[in-house]
Amino acid sequence: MDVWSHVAAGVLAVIQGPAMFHVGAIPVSVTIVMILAGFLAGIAVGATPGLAGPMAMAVSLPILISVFGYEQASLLPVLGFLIGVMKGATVGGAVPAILFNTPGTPDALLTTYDGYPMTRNGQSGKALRIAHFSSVSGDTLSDILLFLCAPFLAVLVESFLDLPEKTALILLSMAFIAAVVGKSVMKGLLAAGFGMLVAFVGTGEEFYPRLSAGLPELAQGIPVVSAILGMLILGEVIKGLEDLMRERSATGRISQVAETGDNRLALREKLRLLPFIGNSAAIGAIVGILPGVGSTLAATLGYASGRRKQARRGGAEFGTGAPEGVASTEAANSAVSGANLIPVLSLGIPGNTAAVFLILAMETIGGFNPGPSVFRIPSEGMNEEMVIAFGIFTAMVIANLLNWTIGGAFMRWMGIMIRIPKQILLPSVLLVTMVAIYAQETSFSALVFALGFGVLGYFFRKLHISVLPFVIAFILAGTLERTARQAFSATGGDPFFLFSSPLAAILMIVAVALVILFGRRRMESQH
Amino acid sequence: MKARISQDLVLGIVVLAIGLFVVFVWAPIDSDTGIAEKVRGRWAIGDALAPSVAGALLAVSGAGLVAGAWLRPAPPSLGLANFGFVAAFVALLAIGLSIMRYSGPGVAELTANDYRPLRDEIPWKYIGFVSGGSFLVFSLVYLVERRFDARRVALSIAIALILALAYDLPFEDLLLPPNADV
Amino acid sequence: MIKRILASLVALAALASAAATAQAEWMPGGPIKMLIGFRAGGGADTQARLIAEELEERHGWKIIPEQMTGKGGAVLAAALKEEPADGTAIGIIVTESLGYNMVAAKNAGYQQSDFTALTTTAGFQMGIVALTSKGWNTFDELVEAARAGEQIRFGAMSPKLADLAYLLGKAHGIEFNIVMTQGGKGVMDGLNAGDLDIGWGAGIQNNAVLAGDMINLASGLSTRLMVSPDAPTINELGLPFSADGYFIFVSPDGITAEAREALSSAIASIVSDGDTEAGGFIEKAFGGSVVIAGEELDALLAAEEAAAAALLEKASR
Repeated sequence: MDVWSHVAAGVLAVIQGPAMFHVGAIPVSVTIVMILAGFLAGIAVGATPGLAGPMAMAVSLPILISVFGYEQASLLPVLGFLIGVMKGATVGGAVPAILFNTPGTPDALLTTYDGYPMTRNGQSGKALRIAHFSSVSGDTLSDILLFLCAPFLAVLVESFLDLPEKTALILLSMAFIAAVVGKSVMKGLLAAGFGMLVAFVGTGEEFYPRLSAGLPELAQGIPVVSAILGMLILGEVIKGLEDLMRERSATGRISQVAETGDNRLALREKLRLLPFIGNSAAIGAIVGILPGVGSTLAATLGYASGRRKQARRGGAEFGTGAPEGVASTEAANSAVSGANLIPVLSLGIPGNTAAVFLILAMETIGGFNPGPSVFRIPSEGMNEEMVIAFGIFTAMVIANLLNWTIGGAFMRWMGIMIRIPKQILLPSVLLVTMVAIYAQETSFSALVFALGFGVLGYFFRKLHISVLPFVIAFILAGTLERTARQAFSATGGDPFFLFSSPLAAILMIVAVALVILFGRRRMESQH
Repeated sequence: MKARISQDLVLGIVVLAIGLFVVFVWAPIDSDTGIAEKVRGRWAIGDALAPSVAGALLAVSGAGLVAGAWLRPAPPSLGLANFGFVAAFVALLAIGLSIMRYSGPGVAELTANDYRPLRDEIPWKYIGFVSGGSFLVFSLVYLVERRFDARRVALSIAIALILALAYDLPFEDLLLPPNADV
Repeated sequence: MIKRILASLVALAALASAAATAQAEWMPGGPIKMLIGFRAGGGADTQARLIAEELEERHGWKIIPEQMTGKGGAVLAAALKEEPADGTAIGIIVTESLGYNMVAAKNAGYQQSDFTALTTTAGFQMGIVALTSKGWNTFDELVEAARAGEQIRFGAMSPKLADLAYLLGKAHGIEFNIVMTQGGKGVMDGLNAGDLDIGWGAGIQNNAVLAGDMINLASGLSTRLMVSPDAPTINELGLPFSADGYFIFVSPDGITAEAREALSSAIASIVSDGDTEAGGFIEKAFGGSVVIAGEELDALLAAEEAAAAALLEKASR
């Protein structure tokens, strides 16, 4: 069986998969329905101030798994939904930023710089159309890069990496994430250290569950969803509620400006924006390949580069309501998501929070181990994992097509989400999160753990410690330890296995160099 | 010269202490095998190595924070009021979760029933979640708004009830809290 | 021994199907909690969930499956021990959890007498597997390669199997680099990625063996493997132990004889019926059901415990 039959099987797995219902005589596959549902939910969540894509993915994952079960057949519907959310939320995130000057995510902050002035000039419709067009373009480019690179990189990786090199590579990505994300390298390392420590509780190879202090609640290990949902969602809920309490006295209503003039986006205008979009999308895609860097940096770089370009050309200055400003930012941050799946599919290493949930879904359901073996062609029969990989690609293409066709209209319509009062939204999110955790862990102690991690996540936020290194280190810690133990045993107990092959040594040196380099640069920049 | 005690300094010291505690006390005592063990005639990595690495990472970052804070004290971002808010939040959640956990079995006790065999029966299976859940939602709304509003109470009950039905009716094997624990 | 088991199997299957109809009067006093000691989504987990569905369908019981993994079944055993012994709590683990793993843990917190064994469902087709592309056709060729100085990485998914690998090497004067993996899937991935040379497979390798991508060099069982009748058993290769093992349903000790009989025969009749989804799956994934119950099962567990102590003693020397 060659590559193309796997591609075809992957596409068919999505389109012809188990039918959910029939339109006339045509069966509609459950995967496609899930992609659509996820996509619409993602836009709605992205458009709701105070919520973001990863939150929706976090809450829906345990429930999706309870609904679809743990069979391999449930991988594509579940991943399809998550991919839909991921893509929808990226587009939807621009809505509150443009209409109400309330960015839901850090990268949407840059969208407010030009998007909100456009709204005040009566051009909100145009701004939303530009955001949508740029976002979708960036996303498309990123997906194409993923399809081309992931299989190629995976095969390359397989032929070069033995157990020691794999260990070194995981260490490198963790060092990179800790060093690059957040305000200080030391706080990044701190978060990563905590993430690892928590992951090591109750695990290990011996029969005694280590670090469990004899408590049966700890002996099973810290529930994954408790730690991750606690840090990501509950921490944010606590902080959000506190901010609301502070703002209670000063609730100025946002005055709405009616749209004036022609708010459509003509083809000529689109063409004029294309250089900015292309430039930013390329930046976003390259940033996306690197694990852990994420969309905020991409948005910043894209915006900065667009501003220089605009200055050379002499158009409207950025920050005054320039369409190019919105386009540069949105194209860059949207181009991250597809490229970010390259390390996910080829190495099993998540690059951002959205990717964390895709990996979690794959690990929990089983039947698909992201990594080099995904793209191996067997001598006989089909490689099921490769079929699923191409199924995932197909799901991304479908989400992308949905985005091109109905995304824009739905996104403009979702402007109403701002009307939900946050003080009711946040407690409801908390309750939904509790149900989601319980559905998967079926134990009350998991809720108590989640509360604990929520408090920890709150303090992380207050102390300007990024939770992303925590989450990613927590996810990778088990793999890291297992691979290290295997490498040590496989090399017959060589204590220097991390440095005994040139490639492993290079990876380790790069990891150390990164931490030192970024540490020093941050220190200088603070002076 | 006396340096001002900055927030990062305290954070660094605490993290350093945790790291050292993990490396020298917790990991060695609370693991079955040490850093490395001779197993089946060969050296193998023991259970204590990985937690020790995590602890060392914490210690290093703690020390780094201490050094950084000493050189450049930064204004604090965390005050007593924050701890007060977190304490209130945790207290409300503790109460809400307790209601969720024990109200179902409590009602069963009062009506001389055994809750365990009833945990999959309507209305028993909803008692805990709806009472605890609506308490949670309302108390947190109250924490922010600081005024008692009967419509908010009704809304909280509605949210908890809708959630319970939305999860329980379509999904057969999905258990609402606390029905897997009894 | 094996003949006796097989004979009793046949007898039991007949008994089970008869009992299934006659036992309709026993009803659990509420929903049954079914603890599953395996990672969600794996073959063992799927088996358990299919059995649960079929039990609901056939008997009208309400079964609530719940994952409880970790420490080779020890986490589940410790939790199940505390559940009420009235037939409303059962668990599925492997015999190793009540054998080697219990003996090897310095303080397992449970013993065999804490449980009532209900029935086994299937056995493992445990073999020592290599990729065909490695070029070894027999176990002896592997030993030769190792003696010639090649480092052999041996993947094992449990300490018991690691001990057996170690002793097997020792019996042939060679030393394997034993690599612990996560589950049988970990061994397969390691072999495929070239990270491992050989490893234990508990039946997961069957399709690859039949397709010619992998080869069973030896059988870990006391009998030869169904798919590779030419591969010698580790007994024949000079090891006085075997890796025989089964999936087993247990309940807390103290349930009534009636409940034990009802539960075990209900499960047994489902797994040995190839027409049910569960039975069909077991046939596909584990090469057919193996039902051992009652006193036979009690004796098997006692023997497993004794053998585990002997194996541990020998491997630690």
